[in-house]
Amino acid sequence: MIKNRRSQVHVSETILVLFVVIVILMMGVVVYFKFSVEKNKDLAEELSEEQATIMLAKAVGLQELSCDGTGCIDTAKFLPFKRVLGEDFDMYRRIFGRKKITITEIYPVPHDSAIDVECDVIKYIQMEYPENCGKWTIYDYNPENELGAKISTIVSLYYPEFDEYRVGRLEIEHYGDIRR
Amino acid sequence: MKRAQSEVVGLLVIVVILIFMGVIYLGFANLAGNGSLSSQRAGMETENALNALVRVNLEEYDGKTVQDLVVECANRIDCDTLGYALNEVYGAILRPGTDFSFWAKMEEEEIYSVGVCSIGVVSSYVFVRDGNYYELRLRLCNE
Repeated sequence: MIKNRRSQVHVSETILVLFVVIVILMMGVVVYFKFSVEKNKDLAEELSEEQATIMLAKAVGLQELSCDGTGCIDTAKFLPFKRVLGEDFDMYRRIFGRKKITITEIYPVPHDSAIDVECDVIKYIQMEYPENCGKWTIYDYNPENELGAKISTIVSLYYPEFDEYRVGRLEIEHYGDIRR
Repeated sequence: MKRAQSEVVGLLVIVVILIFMGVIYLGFANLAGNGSLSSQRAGMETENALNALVRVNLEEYDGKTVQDLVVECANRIDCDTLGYALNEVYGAILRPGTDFSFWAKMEEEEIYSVGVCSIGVVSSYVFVRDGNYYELRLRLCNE
């Protein structure tokens, strides 16, 4: 009778230990899963930032924008580039992905009336150009209207119409991950 | 009773060890940051800032470039203008809180230097004018 009771206690002890071990394992799995989901999100953001940084470095050398490989950006190429972009947007979407690329003139400091004014064909053909605007949006694709992170660098801007160099800031806004 | 107590203590020890290992793993996993990416961007910023500086036409100085002002400084004509121009351009283009150091050398002899930046990526630009070899160096640092 006593032996039988001892074995019952043993069995219930074993069951208790197993239960605790299983609970700990399940908690471990849940924590690990949550952690890896977070890590994957961080990784996606990091990859997007890395891709944007590479693009930032390569943008100055892009044939469509650069002044023939001399390390500056030719402002006269912006409008033709925007036209080409409209004609073959799919190709450029595969290259740039979900991003917004803007160039803002920062030196000489633009007049108050030109700050954040987008340059377009109308502004370009006016006598006041380039003092009448201070910003070009080269590319913009954000179909899900996401909030993005911005990275930027200084660039040398060349105005062939006046044979003059100015300074601008190339800014890339990237959205979360590297989906195209 | 004593045996059951020792089993519970053993289980507790295992649980504590598992939790300890988990915490160490999470700590190490979080250590891998993106420091290299930001240092790459800092290097790019310095290189582009110097590249833009040497080309820009300075409206306030009859459309001269910084290269022209460096040559004038080397010829003992005027070094103050170079200093004013550097402060004007970098005051406008650098992000708030970013400081700079700038050096100009002609044939390995330092002709001009300005700034107090001691830590940061250095970028250099070389040009030849009137048979003389000039080297410009820029370092950017955050306050």
